[in-house]
Amino acid sequence: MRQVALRVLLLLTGISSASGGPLSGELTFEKHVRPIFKAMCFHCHGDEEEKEGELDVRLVRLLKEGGKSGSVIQAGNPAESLLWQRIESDEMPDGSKKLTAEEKQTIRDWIKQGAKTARPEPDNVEDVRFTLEELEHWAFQPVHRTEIPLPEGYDLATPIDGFIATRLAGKDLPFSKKADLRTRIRRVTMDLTGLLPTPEEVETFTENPSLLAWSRLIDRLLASPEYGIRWGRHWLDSAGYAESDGGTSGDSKRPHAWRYRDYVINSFNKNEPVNRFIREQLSGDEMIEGEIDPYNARHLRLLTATGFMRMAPDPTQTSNSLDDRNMAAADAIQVISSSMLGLTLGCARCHDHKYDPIGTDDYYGFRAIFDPVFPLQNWQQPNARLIDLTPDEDRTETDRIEKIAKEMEEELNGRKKTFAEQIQKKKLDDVPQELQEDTKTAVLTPAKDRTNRQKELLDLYPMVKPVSFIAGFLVEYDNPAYRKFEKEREKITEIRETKPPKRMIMVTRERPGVIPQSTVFFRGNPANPGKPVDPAGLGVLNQSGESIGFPVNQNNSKTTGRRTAYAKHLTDGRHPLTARVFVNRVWHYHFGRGIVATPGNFGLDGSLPSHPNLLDWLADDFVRHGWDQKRLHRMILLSTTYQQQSTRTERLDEVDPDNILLARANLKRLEAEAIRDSILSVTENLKLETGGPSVPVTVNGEGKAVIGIQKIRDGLAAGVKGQKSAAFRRSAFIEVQRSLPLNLLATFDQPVMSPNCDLRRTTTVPTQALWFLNDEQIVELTDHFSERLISQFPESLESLLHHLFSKVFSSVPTQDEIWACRDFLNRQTKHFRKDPDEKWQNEIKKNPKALDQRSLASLCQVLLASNRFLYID
Amino acid sequence: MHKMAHQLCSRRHMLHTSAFGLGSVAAGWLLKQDDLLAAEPSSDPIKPELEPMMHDLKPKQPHHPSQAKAMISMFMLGGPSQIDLFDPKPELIKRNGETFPGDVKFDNPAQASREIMAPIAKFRPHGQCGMELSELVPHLGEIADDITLIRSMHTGSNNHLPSNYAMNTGRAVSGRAVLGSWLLRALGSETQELPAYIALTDPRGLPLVGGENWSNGKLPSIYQGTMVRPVAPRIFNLDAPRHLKGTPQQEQLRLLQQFNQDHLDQHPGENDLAARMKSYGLAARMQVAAREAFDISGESDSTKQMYGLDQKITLDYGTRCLIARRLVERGVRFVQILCQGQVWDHHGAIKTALPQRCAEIDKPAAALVRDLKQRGLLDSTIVHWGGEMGRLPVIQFRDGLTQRDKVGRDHNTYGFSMWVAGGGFRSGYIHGRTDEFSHHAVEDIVHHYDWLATVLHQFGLDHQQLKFRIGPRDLRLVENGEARVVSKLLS
Repeated sequence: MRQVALRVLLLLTGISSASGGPLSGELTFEKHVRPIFKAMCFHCHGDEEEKEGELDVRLVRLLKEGGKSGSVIQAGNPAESLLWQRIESDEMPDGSKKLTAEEKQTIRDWIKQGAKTARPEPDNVEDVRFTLEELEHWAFQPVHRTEIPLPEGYDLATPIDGFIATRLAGKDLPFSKKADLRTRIRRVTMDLTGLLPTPEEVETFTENPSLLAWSRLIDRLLASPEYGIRWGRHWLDSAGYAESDGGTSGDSKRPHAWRYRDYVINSFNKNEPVNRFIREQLSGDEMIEGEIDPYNARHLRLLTATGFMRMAPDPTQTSNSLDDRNMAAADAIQVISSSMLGLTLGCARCHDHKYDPIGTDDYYGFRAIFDPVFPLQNWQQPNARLIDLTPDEDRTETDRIEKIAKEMEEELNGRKKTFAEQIQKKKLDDVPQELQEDTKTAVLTPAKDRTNRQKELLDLYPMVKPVSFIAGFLVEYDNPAYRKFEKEREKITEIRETKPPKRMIMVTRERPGVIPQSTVFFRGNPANPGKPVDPAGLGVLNQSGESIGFPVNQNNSKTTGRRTAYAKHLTDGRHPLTARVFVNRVWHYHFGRGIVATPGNFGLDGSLPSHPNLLDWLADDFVRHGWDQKRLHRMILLSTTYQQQSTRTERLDEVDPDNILLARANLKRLEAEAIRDSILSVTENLKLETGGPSVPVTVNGEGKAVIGIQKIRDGLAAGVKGQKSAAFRRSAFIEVQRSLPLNLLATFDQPVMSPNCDLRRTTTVPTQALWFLNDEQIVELTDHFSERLISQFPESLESLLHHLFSKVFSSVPTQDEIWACRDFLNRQTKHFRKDPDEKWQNEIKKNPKALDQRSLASLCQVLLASNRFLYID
Repeated sequence: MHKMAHQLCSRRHMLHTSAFGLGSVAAGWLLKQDDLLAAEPSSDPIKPELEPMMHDLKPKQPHHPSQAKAMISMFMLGGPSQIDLFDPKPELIKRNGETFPGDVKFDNPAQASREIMAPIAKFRPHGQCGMELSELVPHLGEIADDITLIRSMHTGSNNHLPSNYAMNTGRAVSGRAVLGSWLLRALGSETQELPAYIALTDPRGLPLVGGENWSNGKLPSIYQGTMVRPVAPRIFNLDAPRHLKGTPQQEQLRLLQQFNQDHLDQHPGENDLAARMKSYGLAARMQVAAREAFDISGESDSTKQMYGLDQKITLDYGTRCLIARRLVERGVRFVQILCQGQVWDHHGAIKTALPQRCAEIDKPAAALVRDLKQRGLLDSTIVHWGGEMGRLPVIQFRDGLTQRDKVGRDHNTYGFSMWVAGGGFRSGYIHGRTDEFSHHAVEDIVHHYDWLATVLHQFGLDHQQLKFRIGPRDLRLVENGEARVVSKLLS
């Protein structure tokens, strides 16, 4: 039965069609012949300065040129080729080791087929500088689909299980037991939405354990808008999303970056095919035909998508040297290559890549694709790049609101002036009668026209000041009145804040006619351009020499089309990395570790895949089924592998302590955003609004980064103005400033984007414990929450605790736990009753419930601080 | 397989988009039969099959009597130039501008030259020992008789990351535990009120590879370093809310401990859980102790001046050095004082940038040694100053051949210098020698693993015995079989 079901699934996922391997038959020098020469011939005929017989066999061109005895190769005619004659007769190699029959055959066939090369050979033989081992690194080879293995004795629910079970079988390990229902709903809800299941959701799932329930649950979660927020946030790590420019001088804000964040979240929610998602981000601007139309939603989306290429640090608004520009471009290239290709290209900026077969020419060829949007000599500063697509009705609305605000402001200023006049009058009254008139004249005279006598008078009665001065210094003249006026002014500010935001887009696009001549930068120095380069993909990823099809003559078009060509190439389904890198990330977020454990580095110094066949199968399947991400999630989440419990055993810890083979699930600590969002949600504060400008972050008096904006009073920082309910939005909508990460998020390891983040790290440090114990936010939240709980469950503490445990842990409290909680509450109540604070004593006299409330709040705090809340099984 | 595929072909169309496409109802149905067969989890309580692995920070006995109890590592990421600071070579002055006669190991051939560059500063002997040091580190000169200068360091991994890993974790690869974590693992903590391992980072930014500099690698996470904020307040949230201060918070911690223990019992072997439990106890005690430890306001004016707190250029580093002393006084085992990024990486503009770095750090670093000595703490505290590499005797033309005022020096991990004081290391002693150009260490070479083995030795630990078992493998800080304790370095 198990087998039947699996086969059906295999069928559904397209496994039955034969896999089309790469075309073989055509022999090329690089792939087939050079390795033989390198091993057997290079030593005498290439590597050394002096070459035997003056023959260099490292390039076909050089073979044709030949040595002392003339050309050694006649393409298409082995018999006429000196090379073949010498090899056939075993004259060469001249040592004791000769070529095998097979090797000889390869060489002969290759000559016969025309002695072809995979690609044009470089002018300089030294450019052929990478070893085959490097070039043959697994990640640079085409995706190779294998049959799904079906090991006996395993519960195989999706193709994934076949691959995982095969490796388990090799170690004689079974799958672990399925995790229980509560664990599973908690795990999958967190994985897909970044939130915890509600008590109702847990109940529905556990009370009707119909066999459809699990897949229905997955569907429900994938359809939830919270899914896009969770998975969009993951992508934002790769893209290096930040709302500030970075750099050393000021880290100025990017108030429009959020539109890109929304684009990403929407794309995930709409399950936009990932190939299109990639194309839009790399070349959305070029996908627009004709003029940009601010009323065309597609145009807006495409332009917003290109914000991807603007996410890297770019301090050139404030510090705009050639080096600054170059670093901004280099960081963008780094983000693009690590997120899309899973390679650390940046190393090749100054010298050939240390580990990967990527030369500086590769780097600059790749960069040439993007040079028209990063023209160092025709650089646009970030603000100049923004485009304003505010629709007319929004502009009208803005004008209307501004008019109202202005009227109110004028009216207010008028009243304030009148008020100041009254004050002035009062102050004049304090002047001795005989001098009043003169003093009045003095103060009404403009400062520069005053006579000495008038100045004297005003010195003598310093409280007499011009009306404008009094109005400006009202805080000292009449503080209560000042506060009142300020309140009114705040209202005007609030009205101004209702203006529809300007639709400014952080776009990446080319300017007609600005096509820099791309070159290698000698020693990485932009002031030192070297050899010109054409746009090109990385040689190592295109070993078959296929053309990417960059448009040739672009001078007449408004954009070069280079990025379009490259994005198509990346997503044509045959690129060795695009799909692998993407599915590996999805895997990483579900299991806590990628099949390749270094999601941003598939190169030679990255980690090797734990399940290479699975990775390739998934990548291939992903492409075949339209780069459908939700489908990939389903396949993973329906697997036995995913649903296992996480418990370690002695045997597992002995055989596979890092759980590379996945004989169990991994215990995962919640990420920073999930901690904050879950606390807000459990305490019933979370505001599930999607999209829009970010909730601002600022620094409070203690130096802590908190939500809010800086209040300025009389020109000085005067505390932080909170953001009301917006302060309780999900973390994805909280402003990301590189230099000022929200304290709570930074404490729990939210990464700083410099330029992006491939892999988050989690720490366990006492500052996190201190947050849970002492931070005013957790105290406030639990305080309000307990008030609500008590009003919800006024009669039964037991029901209250059941509800609470379900909310925080998705579980039912044991009798022991209930006892422990009751005991705790009693003790706390006793302590709090004795608290001598006067205000508190008054409060509990007025409201006896306050006592219970405080005890319960301190219990909620404990539950939220506990490991059971912080870790997902 | 294929046959089966054909038989099911008629259903294929119907199900095509269903399995993992829109709506999994059909797939769910197909799975139904199997789910029936699969045993639902039993309702028995989960029995732990493993004893909970407990790791603690209780003080532990070393393998043999120890000299050192604590260590302060002033790590100079980037590679301070030994040629311009510590390792005088008359030959370089004599042959300034000439072509380097032998092989040079460049990191970056693209900007390399073979042109010899004389030291950018003069050297003169210091102290009774006559240690020759550069005028860029005058304050170090004043404590020459208290330090050991090693002029023959070698890692041989010629880039920052691998060499940094080598110096701190014993091997030139990422993901391993650093020295500080191993010391905690082996010796525990002398303080139950402060993190036993504290990283003091630069307000200008994190060091290269950030938290990996104080990472526990695969050791349990209670052994990882705690990074405090680079500016005051160094630690947030040290004050309990008024109404929870004292007993109520104690009650909270007690209940938390109970719940976490139950949870750990159900998750045997999960180190992170145990570490987090520990972190609460520590956090509670830190509320009192940390405020006091990081508060330098009570230090005397003369102490503050000694560390350079009265001058802008030394204010930050001096403050961190002074805090380091206060932490060690209070039983912290390992303190790292780190620079931002790889600030000593002077590929270019070495003539202006290197003196600037020295001006920030030289005075506070010397003050730290002097201060510890005055307080009788130097004998039991190893003070280390050094980076992961040194630099080459030849010019690197980072900004082109014509920009001669902006030249620098490329990496050199084959022969570089660092100094160490206290903790049973010799004083007024120079160890090892490089060749006449200060490129390769040639005499009494100290490899990174020798250095680590020697440090462990001073802490009473045998580098061969210091192990941690994970699954089938033993982890060790010092894995190299040739590692030896360099007894010449020790008094």
